[in-house]
Amino acid sequence: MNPLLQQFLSEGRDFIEQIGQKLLILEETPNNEAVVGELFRFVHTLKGNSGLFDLPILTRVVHAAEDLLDRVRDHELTVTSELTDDLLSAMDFVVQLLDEIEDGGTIPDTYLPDATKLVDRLRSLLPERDVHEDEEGAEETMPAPTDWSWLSRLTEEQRVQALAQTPADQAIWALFYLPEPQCFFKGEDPLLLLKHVPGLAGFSIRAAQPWSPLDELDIYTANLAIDALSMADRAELDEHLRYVPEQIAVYQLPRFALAVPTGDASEVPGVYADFFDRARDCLGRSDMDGLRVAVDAMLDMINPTLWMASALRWCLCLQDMGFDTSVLAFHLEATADHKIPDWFLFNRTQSASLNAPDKQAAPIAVEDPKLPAGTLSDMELALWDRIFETQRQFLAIPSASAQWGGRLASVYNTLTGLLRAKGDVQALAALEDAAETSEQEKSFAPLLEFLDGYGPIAVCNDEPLAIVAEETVVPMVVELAAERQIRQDRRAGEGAIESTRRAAEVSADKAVRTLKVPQEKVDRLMDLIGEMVVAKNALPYLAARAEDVFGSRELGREIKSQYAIINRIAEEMQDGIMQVRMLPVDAIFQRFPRLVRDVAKQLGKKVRLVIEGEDTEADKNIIESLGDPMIHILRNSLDHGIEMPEVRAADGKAEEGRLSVRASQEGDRVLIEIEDDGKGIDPAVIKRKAFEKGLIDEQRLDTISDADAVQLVFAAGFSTAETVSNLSGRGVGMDVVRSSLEKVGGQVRLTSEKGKGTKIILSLPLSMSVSNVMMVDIGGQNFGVPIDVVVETVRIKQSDIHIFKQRRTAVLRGRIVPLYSTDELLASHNPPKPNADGEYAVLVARVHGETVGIVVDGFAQTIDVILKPLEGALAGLAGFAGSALLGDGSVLLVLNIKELI
Amino acid sequence: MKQVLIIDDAATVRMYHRQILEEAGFGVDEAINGIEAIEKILSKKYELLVVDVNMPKMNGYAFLQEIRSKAEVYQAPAIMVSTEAEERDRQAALQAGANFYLVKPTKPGELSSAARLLTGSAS
Repeated sequence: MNPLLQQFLSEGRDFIEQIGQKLLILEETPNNEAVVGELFRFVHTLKGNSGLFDLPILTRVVHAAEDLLDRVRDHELTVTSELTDDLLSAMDFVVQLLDEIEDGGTIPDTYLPDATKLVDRLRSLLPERDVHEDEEGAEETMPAPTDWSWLSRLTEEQRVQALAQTPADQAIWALFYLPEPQCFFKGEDPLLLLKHVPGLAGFSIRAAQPWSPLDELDIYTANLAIDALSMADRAELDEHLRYVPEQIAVYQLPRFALAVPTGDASEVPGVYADFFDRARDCLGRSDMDGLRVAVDAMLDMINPTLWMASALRWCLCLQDMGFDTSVLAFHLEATADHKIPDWFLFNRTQSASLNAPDKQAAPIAVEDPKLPAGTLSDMELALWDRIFETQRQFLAIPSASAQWGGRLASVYNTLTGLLRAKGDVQALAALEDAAETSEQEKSFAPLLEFLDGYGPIAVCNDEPLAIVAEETVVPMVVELAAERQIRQDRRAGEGAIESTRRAAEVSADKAVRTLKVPQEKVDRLMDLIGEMVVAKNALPYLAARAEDVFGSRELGREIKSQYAIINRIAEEMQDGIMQVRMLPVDAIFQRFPRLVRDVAKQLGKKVRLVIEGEDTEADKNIIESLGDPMIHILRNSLDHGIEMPEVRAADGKAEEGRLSVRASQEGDRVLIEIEDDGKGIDPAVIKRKAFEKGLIDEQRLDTISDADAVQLVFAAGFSTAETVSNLSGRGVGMDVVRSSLEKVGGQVRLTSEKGKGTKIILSLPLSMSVSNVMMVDIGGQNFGVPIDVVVETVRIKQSDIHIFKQRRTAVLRGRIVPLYSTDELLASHNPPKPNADGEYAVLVARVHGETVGIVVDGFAQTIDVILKPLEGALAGLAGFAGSALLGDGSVLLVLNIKELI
Repeated sequence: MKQVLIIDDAATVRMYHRQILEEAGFGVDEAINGIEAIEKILSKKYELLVVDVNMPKMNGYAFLQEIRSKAEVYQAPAIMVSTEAEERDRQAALQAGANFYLVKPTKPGELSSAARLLTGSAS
């Protein structure tokens, strides 16, 4: 992607983030002038940026938002929550557009109707005063679609006629008409409307969305997108379309855009080579008659249904219509390439070339001051005049005395530049005199006199003259300029030097700045250090081999001591890279104010969100995995926790509920507490529900403590909501929250007091790159088990294992622990074998708050590994948390006990 | 190589103007507001300033007034760039001390030509 566009996208997203935050602040404190100013600046800058690209839809929406904020700034409009809503949804729409640009480089025309609706909505909020004026402005910036292929679906005759019937000074209008899906029920008849469009020259209808399968097709829903061509007067057209303005967009079409060849494209390449040579030759000599003869001759020879024949006919038609050679040449070159001419590209380059500096004609020496500029292009001459004239206006403006000298010097420097650019070095001396006199007399008058007296002298097109001027005058000018500089320096005195030095020091201090690094680069470093850690782990094996296999203890020791060094560096490197990946939780938290505001509003509740510790840092992946679970928890709190204002008032609580989100770091973990002062969770209700849903048995129902009972909300298949609301009850419950946090090694706890509120505590590792796993032997193969689920390892005699409720169990420290053997978990055919003493190796793990035993063949050491998720076809195997490379190069599969049980 | 200072808070605009001016043979530095621009101007000579209007901390007007009242710095020609096309905005720019005014989005040809015309002098 073009770096400028990339820059625009990333800056644009930043701006929208800021705009969203400022809007929320403003909603709270509508008279905050500083925030209004900043907000306006962000929107204004965003609009300015978008103007650099051909993104009219985006520009229009942002422009409408800017107009509104302009009024807010001028105190003509107050920020209401309605206005905030509309502006926020406009920004959401802009984000969608940015996403589209990021994905496809452009904004599809399908966004046009929505954009129009949104802009109309925003404009409807503008106070009456300028509505008319603004509408006119909107018309100018009417975005143009990018897909014009429909033109080729009109017949050639239709288009030729349209072109022939439109005088050169009259516009051809393209209509993009997207009838509303429900239009048939509103008494609208798109086809009838279309057929009566004044000056209709042809139209093309297509499906707005891909057709749904026949048995699902709703024939009463309009699925039409219509493109049409009209040559009518704009006012007449608008009059006709006045009932459906939001469904139709009208664009002015360059006349030559109608020249789109159509027909049988089967050609033998190369056949026309001679013809194109001849045609180019004629065009080059502006021999229009010759060109016509050549085209006619070619047309006589080929089948008129061919694409080429169509292209040639257009060539004649364009010529008949009196288009200039650049249009003809563009058409001819496209035809020679067997391509449909991209007239819109042509149109853009045409208008751009009017502005582009003509490099041939503007030999203004930037590098070498001795080369006098001579010829300026017409465009540059016009610009020269404008700048020159501006200096006169500049001097006419009264100014503060402090700036007087600076203003004089700046005009002097500007005029010096202008004169040199024009090659008029003789006038420089007069300018110098005038400036000097001005300075002595403390009046701009002498300089103004010079400007008045400076006639529009002829530009030195005459080369010899220019050379003479260079030889005789330039040295003097250089001298004068040098002298002037010295004078300026002297005037500046010591103070200036001192301040210059200070400034240099300041900027040196500031040289260390933040680097913006693409995420992939950091991820790659992370991957590399992961490999490095694994590779380094091969050294102890190597040392052992040196000793055992090659019998060199000394070498083994040397390898080991070298390993210690490499190990330390690798660990520091890993630490350093992990630091780079650390993000403040604010990256996630900053979305919450908007979310809480919107949801609370929707529910009719009053909520104050308090965020603390937003600068707490954690690994990027951890932070990212936090987003959805936290949103879910917040929604739950808003939906089920915090009561309606009336209820709260009746309970003697403040009407406004309090929702706080606190982040903090504790050791190598990040703690996040989400606390509300709502109605809390009733353990009795939870117990009953859990029992009804078969999540606990009768015995447990009696024995479970209240604190344990509330944890049941995390059990799969549990939902306490009486009715499913559209906010939190989406069929997913807190169990999804728990499992997605567990995926990154997180844990979640809940405490609640009925009537007082609920607190949910998330605990996450700071970083997920290194995991400590315990290796266990299962059927002769090593598997890893994450150490954070392991409670202990025990050996249990065969005789101590009993069948209880169809499950093997053992009593451990006074508790009944269910035993699972690895052959049933992994569906292998190797049941675990007891050791010589008839004891089984049992790994005791804590899963979902329950203690379970896993019967394995044996235990090995614990190690640090870089855990990588399974990829490709294996990614679906939930029973494995991932794989890790061991120092000897073998692969260790790490079990996900929670999923297995 | 002649040095130009672009003063604009929008990174996208800075990049856009930088591309145009570098193409036209200028050396380009950037500042994100008036305060940063003044620091730069005090430590290096620029032959042209391209100044945005609306910036945080110190906007374009305030910056130009500040610069025009500093006798010790080279009084480089300044082009003020703004999205506003109205005459009163142009007048305000001149009032503040800009020598020329261009409407954003600037046309590449216009900006590069204006830059060359304004700096035609030998340094």
